[in-house]
Amino acid sequence: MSKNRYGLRFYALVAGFFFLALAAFVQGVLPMLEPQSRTNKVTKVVRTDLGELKWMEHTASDYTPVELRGRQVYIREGCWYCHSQYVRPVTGETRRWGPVTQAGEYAYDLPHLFSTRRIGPDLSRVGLKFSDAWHLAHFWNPRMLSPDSIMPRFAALFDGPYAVKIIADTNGNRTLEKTPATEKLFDFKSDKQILLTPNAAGLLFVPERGKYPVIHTPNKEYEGELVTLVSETEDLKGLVAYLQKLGTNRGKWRDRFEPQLMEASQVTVPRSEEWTSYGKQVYERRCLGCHGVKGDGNGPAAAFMQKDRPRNFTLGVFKFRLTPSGSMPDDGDLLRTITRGVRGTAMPSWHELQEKDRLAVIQYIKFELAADRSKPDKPYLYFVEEPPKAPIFIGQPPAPSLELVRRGQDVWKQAKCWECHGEGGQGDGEKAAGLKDDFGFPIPPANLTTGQFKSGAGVKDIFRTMSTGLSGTPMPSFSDSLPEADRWALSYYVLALSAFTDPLTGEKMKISQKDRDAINDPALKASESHYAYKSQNTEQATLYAGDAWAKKHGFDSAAARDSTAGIKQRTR
Amino acid sequence: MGLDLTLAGLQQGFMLMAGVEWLDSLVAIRPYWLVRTVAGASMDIGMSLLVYNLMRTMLAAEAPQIVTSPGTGPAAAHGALP
Repeated sequence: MSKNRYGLRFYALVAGFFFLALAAFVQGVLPMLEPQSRTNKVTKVVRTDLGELKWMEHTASDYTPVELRGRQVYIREGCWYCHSQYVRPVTGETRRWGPVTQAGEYAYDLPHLFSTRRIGPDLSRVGLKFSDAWHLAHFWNPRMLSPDSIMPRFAALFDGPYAVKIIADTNGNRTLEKTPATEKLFDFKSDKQILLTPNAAGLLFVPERGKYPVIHTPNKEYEGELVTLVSETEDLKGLVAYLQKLGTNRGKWRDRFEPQLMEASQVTVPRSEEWTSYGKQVYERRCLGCHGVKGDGNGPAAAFMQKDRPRNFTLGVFKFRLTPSGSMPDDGDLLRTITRGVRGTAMPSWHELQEKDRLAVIQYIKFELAADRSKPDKPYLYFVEEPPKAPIFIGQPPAPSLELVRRGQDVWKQAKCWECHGEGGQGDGEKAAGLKDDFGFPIPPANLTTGQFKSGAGVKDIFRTMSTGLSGTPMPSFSDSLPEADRWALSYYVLALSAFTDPLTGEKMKISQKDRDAINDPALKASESHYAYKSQNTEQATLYAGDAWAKKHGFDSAAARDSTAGIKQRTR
Repeated sequence: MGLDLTLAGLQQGFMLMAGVEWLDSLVAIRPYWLVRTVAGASMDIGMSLLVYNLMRTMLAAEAPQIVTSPGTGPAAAHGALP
């Protein structure tokens, strides 16, 4: 009777539902069933064997079991309600957080944790911005580090607090009394000591278990008799590991992150009451948590920073300088350190802070904090009594080459860098054990193979450190003992020590020799993510969804892949 | 509340575009969150009052007057309607 029983609208409806379901399946369900079908390609910054930094295409890596546990904690604690994990290509986000997010970064995220709102800062680039100690202090109480923070405390993730008495032991050391809690945290029979420095309120974080505790207060950090012990739990350890992993799939991007690269010399504002009082406000909001009210490097959060102590301004010794050895730093030096931060320590980069804030806080440090106040009526202002000498001049570095790196290696042997930094640069030289800085805190030589350089990762930064030395540490100035050309060669060699390593794990990346040679070529610039070097190796071609499925389910698709590879070879 | 949050979003967006430090941009939109809290609280109170109103209306209503004598069920009553 009717030739068209259902009509066009019926078919349109069915087709609509079908395509909707298909889209949901292909984009929503299929990637979940077949993890291999998600791309794990990202562009990352690598250090080449000649010491340069270049972008290359490589694969993202999966989470370790510890990091996965941390991810579970991140989900459980609802961190994602307030923290996003996505760098958008708009509103200057690339100048704030880092390179724009790529799909491959989420290859191992199931579910992804993009989140929807930014009540807290974006976390997709937070890895290696802060040290573990900073994160721990921040979880204990975010207000310790930034008084304006609205993040809740996560004290429940800690083991403790336990109130414990300080007692004297038979060797004349100050140790902790034995209680069930301290028996758990320490091994009182161990001959390995762990130096612990409580903050002024007696809070003390125990970073490592199973050692003999010694309360170490060379600058009278704490004079009470009762300390409050806190330590990590497995959950917390995982959470910090997870946070440090975020963004490191993009390699050493932070080393060529333009907003925090700053070279400045003799930039200053005049000494005035107004600048200093403004600087005080900045200091109280940003710096006080670690460096303390008096600038003595013993702020409330310093209780967590047992390995890298915050700078004690009242001693008037500053590490990173362009001024000659023994001199105070000039404002440009301080501005550079504040802008870039000190990599690998709790000092983050402050590139987001306005320049005037940074300059003002320098005035406050120079003319209020960096003073010896042992005679309260006549404070000795280091920056007034010993004005900084003229900075040294660092010219243009020579072009990187293999000869230069080889020569650097010879210089490394001659100048006996290995005595402290170790044969392979891992900071394990024969003189390394027991090194202390001028203030009585242990200072292990830098592990140069990690690629985490405290005063900057450019060749000029390494050159500067060698030329002026690091005040207050065993690192001397080499400007008298090594000619300039040798120092440049050595700088390139030091950078090359961390060639093709993962910034987080320090492991060597798996790259074919052919690719490696191609990237090493100084003619290849690869200076931006979109100019990233792409692997020429067809054998490691990406598995696409069908391939991945066939591989997983035991079908041999190798023949098909080989034939396509052959075609690619011929067409190129 | 919608207007308030839109304004907060615009302000935050412009501040981020201008490169204001993260925490400063957060501090700047805290007043908007206060307004949102007040607005949200008033919505909560309003909804509670609605529920209370319905509850009181229900409790105060007189018992239904439907007489169900044998033979005349609700269907019959329904059918009687015009």
